[in-house]
Amino acid sequence: MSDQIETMINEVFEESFEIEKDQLKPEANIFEDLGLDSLDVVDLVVALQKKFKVEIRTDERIKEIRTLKDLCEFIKDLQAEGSH
Amino acid sequence: MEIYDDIVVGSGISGLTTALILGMNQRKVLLIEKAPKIGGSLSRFYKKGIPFDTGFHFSGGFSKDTVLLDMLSVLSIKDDIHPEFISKPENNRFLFENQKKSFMFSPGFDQNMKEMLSYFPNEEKAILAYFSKVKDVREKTTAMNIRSEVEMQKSLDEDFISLKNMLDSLTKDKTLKTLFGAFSMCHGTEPSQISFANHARVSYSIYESIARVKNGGHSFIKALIKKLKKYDVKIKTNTFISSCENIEKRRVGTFVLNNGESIKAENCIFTIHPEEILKTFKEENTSKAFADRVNSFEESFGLFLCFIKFSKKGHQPFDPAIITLYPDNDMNKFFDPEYKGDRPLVLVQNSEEVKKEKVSVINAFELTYWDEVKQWADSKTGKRSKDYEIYKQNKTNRICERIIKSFPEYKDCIEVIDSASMLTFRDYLNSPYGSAYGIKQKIGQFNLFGRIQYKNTFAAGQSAILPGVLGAMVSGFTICRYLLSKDVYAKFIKKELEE
Repeated sequence: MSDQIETMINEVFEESFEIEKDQLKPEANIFEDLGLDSLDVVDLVVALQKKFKVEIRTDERIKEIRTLKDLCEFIKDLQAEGSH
Repeated sequence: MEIYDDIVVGSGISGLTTALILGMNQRKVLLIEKAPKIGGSLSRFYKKGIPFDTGFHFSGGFSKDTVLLDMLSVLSIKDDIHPEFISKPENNRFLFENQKKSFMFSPGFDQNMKEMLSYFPNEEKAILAYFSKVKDVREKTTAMNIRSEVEMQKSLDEDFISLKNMLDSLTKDKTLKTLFGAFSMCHGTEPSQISFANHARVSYSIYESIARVKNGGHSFIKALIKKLKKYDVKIKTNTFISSCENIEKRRVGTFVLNNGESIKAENCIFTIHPEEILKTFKEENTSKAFADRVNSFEESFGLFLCFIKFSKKGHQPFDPAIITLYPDNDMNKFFDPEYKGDRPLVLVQNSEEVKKEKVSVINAFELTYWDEVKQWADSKTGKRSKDYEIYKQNKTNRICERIIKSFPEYKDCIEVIDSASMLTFRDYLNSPYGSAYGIKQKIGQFNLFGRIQYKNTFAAGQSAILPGVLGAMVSGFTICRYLLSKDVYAKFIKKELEE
């Protein structure tokens, strides 16, 4: 399950931000390694929302996200909350 | 090369507001407008000497200490804007054509609730719940207060439930639901797609009071241009940004205008339609995520407008009135883009001074969608096909029929001076689809607002937070708070409100 989330997150970075596949490692920092800017955060949230069909609210937790792994955990949490 | 602190793109109410606040704060500002004249949908036009409104017909928010009055005070144009309140209940009326039922409301939030209770005595629980939820949302919306020091508007639970689902949970009575949802006409998004919270934010101020403004949107344009000149804001009409060039480190180096001129600016604030913003960004410098986000927005509904002169011997000139005709009581049906029958029709009655005489006019507008005129999208105004002329004539005839059916005494008294479809609005007001309210405000949507794509580009306008004059102006104030820094902004607001 978690592998699938990882794959889908990687797809968002490849498709929406044109980032090369080999850069997409779980420990990669979204801003420092992948070159996104704080300007891109809302666009990223919108793309993730569409990909995972989840509702992402302006959430304090988003600010804590640094790496792809953090993002994966965040999506997992969201999905778990949604399935209550 | 000309150098500015800020470029403001678009001269509707948001652009005018933004440019003025920045100018008042000693910034060197350039305001550009694509059309030959300033004002966007605030503009009026004259035919047979009679002024008619295009996009601004009435507004809430003119009574008591509200954000609109605060904003007008800060811009020091409060004395130039003269609201004409709709005070008699018969002048704020909803008619259900099939049911032959009519409901009238006096101004005031509590008064609206009381009158609703008197019309639906068995629905007390639903009515009290609806009004208390509307009030609750309004009170929790800190963004609707320019004095507020709260940094970011928190999402409410009501931001994630649709108006339709909320109303379905409150009552089964279709007529009551339609009345609760009545001011959907003022935000342009159908009840199944807008959040209850945004519907409440728009409706609250309209429950409090409804007013037309003397000389319509023109009074805003005139007053604001005067102030812009005072603060040396440079204005260029027939001008737009054709591309953003020399992008380095996510910052636009030069903004290239349609006349070839290059301009440098610390910031560029776009108050135009999101699709039009995207067009100025170069594809190779724009993330696909951003483009996808803009392209996923849907368009709000539009209005088919008939400009009508009313004349009858011995008739008193109209007091301002807003009368909404509903074909029947199923709101979800007639807001559905697929629906083929009659849709809500709003009659805005008032009188205008023409050569020192009062002339009664009716702006009659029916809800419509882009699909209706899409087939003629390639044509330009004045050069459209016969089919299109027939479409317009049929719409106009049907609107007149409906008016006379509900008001038989208007027979032989109404003369249609002109009419406008979404294509007319598109071509005169330079919006891509000629809709009434920019993009639809859909639940869970992240609008373009604040900094976008490049470090020195920003978005505001009626698509940014909420549609209408209020929402558009608030978006301008909020952007300026960011650009000026919150301390400078807070001092500025305080100082201007004290004067």
